[in-house]
Amino acid sequence: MNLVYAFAIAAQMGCGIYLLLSRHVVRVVLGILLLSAATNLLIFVSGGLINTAPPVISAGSETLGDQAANPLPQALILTAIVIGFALVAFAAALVLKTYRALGSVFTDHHNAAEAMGSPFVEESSNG
Amino acid sequence: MSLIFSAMARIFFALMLAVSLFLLFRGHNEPGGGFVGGLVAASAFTMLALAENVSVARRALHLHPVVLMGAGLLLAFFSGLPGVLSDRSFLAHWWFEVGSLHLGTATLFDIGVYCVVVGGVLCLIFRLYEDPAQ
Amino acid sequence: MGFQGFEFPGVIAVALLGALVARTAAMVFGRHTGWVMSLVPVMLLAALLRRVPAVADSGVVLTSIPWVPSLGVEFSFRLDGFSLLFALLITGIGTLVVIYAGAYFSQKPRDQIGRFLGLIFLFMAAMLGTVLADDLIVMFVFWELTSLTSFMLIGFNSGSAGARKAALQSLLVTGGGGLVLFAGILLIGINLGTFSVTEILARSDELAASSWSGPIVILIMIGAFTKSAQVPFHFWLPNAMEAPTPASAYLHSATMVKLGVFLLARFDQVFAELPAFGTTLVVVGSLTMLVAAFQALRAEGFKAVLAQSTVASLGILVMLIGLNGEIAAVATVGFIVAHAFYKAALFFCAGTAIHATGQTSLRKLGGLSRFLPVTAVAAVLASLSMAGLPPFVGFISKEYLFEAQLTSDWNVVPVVVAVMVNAVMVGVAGVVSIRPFYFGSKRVTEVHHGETPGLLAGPLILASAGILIGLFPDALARTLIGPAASQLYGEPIDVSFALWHGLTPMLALSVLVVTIGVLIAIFWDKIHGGLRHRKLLAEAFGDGGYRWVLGAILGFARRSTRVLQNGDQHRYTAVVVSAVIMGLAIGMLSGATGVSLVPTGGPLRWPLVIVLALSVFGALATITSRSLIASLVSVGVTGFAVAVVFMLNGAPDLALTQFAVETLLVVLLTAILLRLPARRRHSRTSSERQGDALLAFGFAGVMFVAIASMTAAPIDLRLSEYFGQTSYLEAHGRNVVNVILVDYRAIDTLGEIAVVVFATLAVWALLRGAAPARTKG
Repeated sequence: MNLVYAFAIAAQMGCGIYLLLSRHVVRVVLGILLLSAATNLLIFVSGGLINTAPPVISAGSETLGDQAANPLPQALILTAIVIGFALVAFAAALVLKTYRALGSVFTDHHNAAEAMGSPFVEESSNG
Repeated sequence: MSLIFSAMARIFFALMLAVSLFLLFRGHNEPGGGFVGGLVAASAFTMLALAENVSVARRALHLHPVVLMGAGLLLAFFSGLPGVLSDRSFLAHWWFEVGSLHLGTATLFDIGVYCVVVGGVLCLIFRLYEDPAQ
Repeated sequence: MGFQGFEFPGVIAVALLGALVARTAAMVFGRHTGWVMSLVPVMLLAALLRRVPAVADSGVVLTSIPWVPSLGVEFSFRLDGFSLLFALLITGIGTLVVIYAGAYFSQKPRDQIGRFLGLIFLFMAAMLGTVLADDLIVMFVFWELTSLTSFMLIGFNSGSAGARKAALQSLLVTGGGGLVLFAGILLIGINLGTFSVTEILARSDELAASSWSGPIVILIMIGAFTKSAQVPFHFWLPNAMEAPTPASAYLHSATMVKLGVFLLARFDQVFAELPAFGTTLVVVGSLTMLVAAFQALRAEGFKAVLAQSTVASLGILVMLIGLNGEIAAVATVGFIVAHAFYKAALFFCAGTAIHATGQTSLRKLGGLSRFLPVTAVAAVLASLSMAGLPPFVGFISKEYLFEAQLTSDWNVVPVVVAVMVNAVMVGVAGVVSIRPFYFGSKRVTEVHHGETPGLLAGPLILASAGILIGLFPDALARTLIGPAASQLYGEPIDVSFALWHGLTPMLALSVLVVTIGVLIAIFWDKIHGGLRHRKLLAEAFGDGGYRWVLGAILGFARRSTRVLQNGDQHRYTAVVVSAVIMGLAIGMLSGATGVSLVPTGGPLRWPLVIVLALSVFGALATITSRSLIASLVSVGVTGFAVAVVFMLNGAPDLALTQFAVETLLVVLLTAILLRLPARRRHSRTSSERQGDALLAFGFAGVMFVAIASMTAAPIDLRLSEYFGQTSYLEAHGRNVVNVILVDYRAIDTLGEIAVVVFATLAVWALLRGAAPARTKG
């Protein structure tokens, strides 16, 4: 089973890297998304996936049962998911802002646009 | 927007909000918690914003999302202070026995998390859906 | 005695204090600043002179204050004959420099004199620290400080491009050499476990026998050669003449440039047994002498001629250290003293002449004695000492130089070199004193500034000291030269530093030198004119090599920047990804972590396999899809599949969170995609896409192996078990994941929600520019 996980995570990461290498900023953001999902899965797998009961102490018991899954990676991933969400949202907002400032979603255009100055300077100062 | 969708959205909004609070408060002992609850609540407001418009969702929220977010962060922070007083350890939580229930500052912390998540997500959603498409 | 340990740090601190108050003093005292501020070095000189008897008797005075005890670095100081000699030169000549500078800058704005004197005092502190430090790390810090102050003094006229260039050159050469020296010091420390000079000298056999002695010698020699302007680093010193003349007199002839000699002398005992050490010093010193003597004949400027003769003198000193025997030690010390006196005096005279006329070229100066009579006398006295004529101290030191050479086991070549170079020095002595002040082809008819007491004190005192020491050498020999030479030699020497040695071979050589020298002085114009226009020579002996190296480095930097920092984000990402792949691959291949592709983790669970396949399918669809919206949906598929994986492995919290986040992300990103143009073209060429696919495959490959190996390794579950055991009993929660979040790791969670707050606030602010729409529906 571990090889299946390894294959799935590696494949997702490979796709994420391929997107990260794009010059289209939205595809870069999508690459970050894929990479972070794959990374979360990686942390999850690293905790060992033999036991599949939720790590909740059953009523009447005082300690976690033997069958419960490893709670530690779950706690780590839970915050990672939310932070990853905030990060992607921020990146996406940057994409939008960049597009509005420079008029393109391609990083090679951004370089050229930076050299020329913003085409929307007048517009934004009027607005 | 169709009237039916709009009406259904309001019903779902109320349901999801209830679910989110349920998730938040049972989170200490069952699956759930501040992060999950907050995301469900934010989804509820998002749905309202999509079904009606952002100003309806804003009115339903009553608070400004940035204010909610800040309040949540402060609440989470202050929930750690009692521990400083008793154990000299920040965020070591206090617990009270109320009948068969354990109540503690950990719950306050989780409520803080909940508020931050709701406020944060709604900041993003409101900002983007108020923004004019080009 | 309680303050004993602070005496030498105190000396340095007083000099630093001088640097701090110099500016204020200049504002208050104006033209008299030089005289007032000279009290500081006079005090220091007096404090050091009090120590002369103790050093002459017992040899070494040591004090120590811990500085960085954990690294074994101590603020320890060592006053022996050799460092005392240097400290006296630094403070003594420093006093005269301060007086002279006050007069030299008297017509300039007050802040200039303040700035200049501040730098001079800073330099003085650095020099005292370098020569007094017993700890090599401390010495190195002060050593580099002298390079820095030299940089600032050469570039003092910061408006002049030439001054800036020369300053940078000296900093690159001496600072770079300092770093090489530092490497040598560290090697010594590693090998001996100490940085203390005293201890290193005591254990010199051990160091010489260690297998690292070769690299250490080379590193230290390079450090010394850069500082003392030896071939091939000789070029910076003549260029450093851009500094105001008082600084040239102080730094670039009397004190700082002798630090390399100081260092070599310090380690002479340690490395004397290595045959290559002495040979290298003699060869490098002789080469430097020749090149510098030659360049002195070609030089035009007053200061330039003096600078080249200084380089030649430094070559003589390096050569003397390379020679063995007690005569060589006495000759070294004697020459250091004699040179400091006459060269500083000549620089002062040159400064006065240039200051008075505004002319720097020797050919345009002549007949100055009418306007500067006292300076002219001082110049002649100093140059007689430089020429090595009796009864000046220069004569004694030259006799010793020849004696050291004749008694060494070297053959005749160094002697011939020394005769030729000394003859040139005699010629230079004539040219820089008699020509500008008495004869000379062009007579100066008017001067802008005359002589003032401040301008005369330095040259007169130094020049007359040259005669006094020459006439009564015995006093100095017993108190200073003897102890210093003994320190250098390693054993006590009974010095007979006398003017008259009888009719010896050395005297014959002296006569020969003077004869040739006088001829050179007489035919100077012809020799000079013949050599001046040889471009090839200028390239060979000037700073052509330096410029070539610097240009090559800058060119390499430009080319590599063009290749590596070409502004293309695609290239940057590719470099980072390649580096990560290589790092992972090297890590796994080097065997630091076990590589294993064994299937573990129980039997295949088909529902999971299908869901994982779906996640891979989503990822592949994301990259193949042409439309951004379709890609977004495909990413969503992957996200939901991951959520199901969480669900199937006992993580309901994660599954819920992932579902909610995926939903919200699709909502958010759709809003953004609606505001962006539809995708129309490939952003990469097809070959770039192929390369990227290769990189992605490579990354996936190493990740696959890494994850497979990781999952095959045993897991340490102690922490998780602790949480499982105590979650309910101590933290009163049955959902262990939630308890970890809000209790065990609550501070982390607080930090994480703070990150969420800041990220979303940033988005809020980023998109604020657009006016909120009221009319969307």
